[in-house]
Amino acid sequence: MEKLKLENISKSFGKKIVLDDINLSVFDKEFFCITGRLGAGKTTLLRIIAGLETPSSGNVYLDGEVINYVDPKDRRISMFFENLALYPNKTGFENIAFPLRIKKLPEDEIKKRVYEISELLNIKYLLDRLPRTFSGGEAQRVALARALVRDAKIYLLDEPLSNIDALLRIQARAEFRRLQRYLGKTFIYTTHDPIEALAVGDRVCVMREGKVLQIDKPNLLYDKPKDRYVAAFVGNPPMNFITCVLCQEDGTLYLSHDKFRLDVTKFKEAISDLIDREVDVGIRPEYIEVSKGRIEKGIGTKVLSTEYLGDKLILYLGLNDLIIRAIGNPELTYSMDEEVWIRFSSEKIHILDKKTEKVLV
Amino acid sequence: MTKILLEDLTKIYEGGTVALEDFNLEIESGAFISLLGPSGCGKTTTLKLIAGLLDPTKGRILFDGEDVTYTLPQQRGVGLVFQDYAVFPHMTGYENISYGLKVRKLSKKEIRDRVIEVANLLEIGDILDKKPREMNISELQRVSLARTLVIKPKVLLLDEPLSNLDASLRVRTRIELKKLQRILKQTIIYVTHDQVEALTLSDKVAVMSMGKLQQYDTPKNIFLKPKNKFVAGFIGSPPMNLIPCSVIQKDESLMMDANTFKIDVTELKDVLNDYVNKEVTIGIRPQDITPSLKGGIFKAKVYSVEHIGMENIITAKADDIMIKSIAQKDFIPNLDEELWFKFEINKLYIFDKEGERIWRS
Repeated sequence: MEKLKLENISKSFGKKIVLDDINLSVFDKEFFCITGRLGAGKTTLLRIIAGLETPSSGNVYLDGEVINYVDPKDRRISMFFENLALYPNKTGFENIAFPLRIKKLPEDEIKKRVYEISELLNIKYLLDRLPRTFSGGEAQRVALARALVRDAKIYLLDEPLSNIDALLRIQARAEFRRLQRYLGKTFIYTTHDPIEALAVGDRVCVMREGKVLQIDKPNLLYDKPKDRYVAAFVGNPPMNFITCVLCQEDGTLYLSHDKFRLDVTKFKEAISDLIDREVDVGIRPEYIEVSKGRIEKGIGTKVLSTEYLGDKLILYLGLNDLIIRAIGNPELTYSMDEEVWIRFSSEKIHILDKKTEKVLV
Repeated sequence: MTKILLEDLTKIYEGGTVALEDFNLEIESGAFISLLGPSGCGKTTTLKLIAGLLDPTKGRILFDGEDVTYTLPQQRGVGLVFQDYAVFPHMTGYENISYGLKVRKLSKKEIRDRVIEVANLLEIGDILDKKPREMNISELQRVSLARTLVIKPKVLLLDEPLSNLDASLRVRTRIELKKLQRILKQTIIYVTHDQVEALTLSDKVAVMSMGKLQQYDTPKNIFLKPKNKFVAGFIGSPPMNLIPCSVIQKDESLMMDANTFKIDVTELKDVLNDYVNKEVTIGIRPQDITPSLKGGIFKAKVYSVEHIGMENIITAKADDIMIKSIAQKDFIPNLDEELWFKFEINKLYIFDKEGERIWRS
């Protein structure tokens, strides 16, 4: 069921276009995640949904009704901001209870709900304490409890994990996903980290410069990106792009590069318009086979740099002027300028139109 | 090129907070080392002591054998770059970078030569006329770094310089920093809470917690041979699973009892003989645990599933224990589904009650 719909939403601040014709739907009980770089328009979009900004054009629908002119406090949308601000003179309990007190709920109802959400977020021990005794992670959880304690139709979470340490962030991801499932509420969540978006979202929306580029399930976004930006943005280490020429010879189609040749006849339908033109081949680092010894159809490259991550080793390999990222064996040592051979199968590649930057295969 | 020695360095702040306790560290000349730990572990205090911005309560700091514990900051030859760039907003890139040289009353020509040299190195030659407000984050960060490098410090201290960048820019900057160090050959001390940065950039990593040094070692050893439970539980993405157990003897065989499961560890008899009927902790990396539909060492209920692109992280709960494992990207269990988990005994780490590692294969 459609919970929220944005129809042709645009927003300009003066001459600057921040959002450009956004259309999207968020379903009931969905964990919807928006990702993009700084300045992509994520926060402005949330502020429009919350009613803190008015769109320059377009409509916001909640449960099928236009809410463009509904006052923020009457929208029943709860928002959690990146710059969380707890009331320093109120205890954890009173901070969380605050939105309920404004609504003038009876005292026992307030208690019940504050305890319930505190139990869920594991912060019961913070209820009697003042914010100045909280760590960053604790303050963040209390602020989150305050956003979630309200009975809202949609919960908007703007970069909720950006203020906490890297390690806690990885742990909190799983908690967030669990929490949303457990509460059965609709979440709209923003993050600049595409991996975090994949990890928590039922569907992920990638934005760039005020535009929506793709909305898909995490696995589809990763396996079937629609254009070059999404392909490069989602995934760590990012996808490699190698410029080749698409050639035809006796009914076979192949990609030609001065270091290799790859048969792509089976993709004929999708790419036949590009024959004799330059195309980009996209290949994810984990699909590149790396060998220290010469292998059949292997492409010779030079080790430029390595990054050790414990369970993985990222290799930066020189192929002519290009740097290819591949995953090496962390148990082996690769020395600088060492020659290694790489190989990849046409099953795992994407072919991109160099002009339109669309992914064709 | 400066060798740094920290001897019994202790810092107790007014009010009695012990920020750093008996800290010993030997930093080779020209090495790139990281101070890694969660907020409040003492890493920034250490950096400030080395820079001379704080006086230690006890202990000594030696640069190439010379005691600089109480030497003025500007006489130590130390360059410090903070996470908030702190460039002068009213000055151009050139004026910002040359400021430190002007203060040192260098000739106009020398100033010009050195600014150009460092600007070329950091690839910001074309933005020297811009004011900070016209620069993007990456450019600001380079100007800030250039301003420090231009005075040719013997030691470069970097306090979370990448924390304000978004994920993809961070990866790129990391590679550049590493390249830079190879050219400059300065001793670099890098402070971060992000293990990925520490592992990928450094020759050696000092893992800190609660003002104490936990381990000082190469990235490989930090990952493969964690000295204690803290390091094991801090490193890895996600970090190592730690499960409390007791060692039980039954006739000739030795068992590890973790309540939810028992495993036969008779083959580790030599190691565990002294620990019979004692509490220990076993550690197992998420990458070494395989979830499956049937058959394994223990059963647990799926708590959360994260799709992170090339693989899935599955968090499962067995009684009170949360266990993370890595699965193939096409393995997608349902929430609360009961799964089997298995691992090989030779992938186990064992820690004693004090948290020190007593075994790994």
